[in-house]
Amino acid sequence: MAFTRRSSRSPRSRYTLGLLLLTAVTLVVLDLPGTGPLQPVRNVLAEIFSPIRSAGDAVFAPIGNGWKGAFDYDELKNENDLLKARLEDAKGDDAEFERLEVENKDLKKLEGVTVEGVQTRSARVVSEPPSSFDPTLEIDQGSGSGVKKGMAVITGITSGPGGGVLGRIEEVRGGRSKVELVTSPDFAAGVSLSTGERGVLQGQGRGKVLQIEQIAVTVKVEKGDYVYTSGIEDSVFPADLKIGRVSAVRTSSDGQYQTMEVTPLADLSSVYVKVVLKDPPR
Amino acid sequence: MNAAKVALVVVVALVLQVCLFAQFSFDGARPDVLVLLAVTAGFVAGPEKGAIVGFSAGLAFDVVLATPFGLSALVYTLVGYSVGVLGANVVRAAWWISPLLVGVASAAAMVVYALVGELLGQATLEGPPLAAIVAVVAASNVVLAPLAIRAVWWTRTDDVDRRRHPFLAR
Repeated sequence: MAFTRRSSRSPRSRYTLGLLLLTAVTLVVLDLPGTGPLQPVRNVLAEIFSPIRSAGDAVFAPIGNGWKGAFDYDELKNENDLLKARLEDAKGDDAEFERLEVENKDLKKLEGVTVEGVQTRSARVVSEPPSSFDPTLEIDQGSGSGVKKGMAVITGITSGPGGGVLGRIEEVRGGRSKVELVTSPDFAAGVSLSTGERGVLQGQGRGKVLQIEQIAVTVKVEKGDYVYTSGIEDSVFPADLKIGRVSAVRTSSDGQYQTMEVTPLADLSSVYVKVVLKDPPR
Repeated sequence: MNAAKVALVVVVALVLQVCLFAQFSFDGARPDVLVLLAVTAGFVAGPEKGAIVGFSAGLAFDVVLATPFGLSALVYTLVGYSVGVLGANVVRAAWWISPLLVGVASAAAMVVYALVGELLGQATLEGPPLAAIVAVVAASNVVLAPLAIRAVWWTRTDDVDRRRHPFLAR
């Protein structure tokens, strides 16, 4: 045949395999979380690929829209997103009243939590995850718009805080950014409950509810309570962004703690999102 | 293999994956044409070239993924090499042997990817159901295999033997 096949037992084949595997393993180790010397290289490669990708997006967009249209998606989806975002903002007003009421009653418990106005940048989700194993979305705003790694991403289309937390910026590559969704198992954020109690909320995987553990049983939590970002200390999120509502409360076997299941407020399939332009702590 | 042609095939496959096939989501599972390239290269050109194409395709895919850089390259290298070893020992008399091998290899690649990802703390088993990923990738790759084999075939440099590949002869 036209390809010269080299036997799998040949030393050269094994040598090539060993060399490639060693290179790949080295790259993986260098790029594991907490390291990051490869990030600039990755960014440069992504920048080089970016125009090709944009051209590809333009060429294949009609096919993608056709596919989505076949499942009643396209324009109805956009309109639906718009209405949902408005509804979320309205829900947000209710939540805000509820929060302020509790804050007035027990202000001392909220000591250390800051409430502040934050600027946002509207963005559009431009890319689905390229692989089944990639839990991120891509938005059309990048470093040129002031977007930085760690910033919060929320749903909603009006100015100012609104909607729910969708996730956070995981990577910024030129004019685009990758967003880690709130449901990702790697996602964790400091949160506060309506009672002022603080905890850590964690994603549990796609399609699953979020979870807060280790809340003392003495804390009164009810189904339907709102959960906010705490914004304290080294949290990457500003305070008082709404994340979700408590959908279930369980008590641990030793009766000391409660675990809460939280349904995210954000529509994870939103086309329009907002990036909260608050610098994450160093 | 002609390195420039291999690079071109990999870039075209990457564009198709990111801009086209990524949009075809079935319960979150998406086709993977980069692993198809690794599988067909191993199948058509043997273990060594399968490993090289697998590494190149995986590394290119890693540029656009949020998973650790090199993870896809690691898995696709192993897949390309393994298919090359298996392909050399498979009797291809029946027409269905080739697509079956492509489908099984693609499915195995997804399982290996998920397991290696979990070992590296990437929660690859927490996303779409692995069964759905395996089914979607295997089925789409069986359908797309003839095209991928033509693309890999195009990258050859020697014209010693012009016999057509059994998969293309149908």
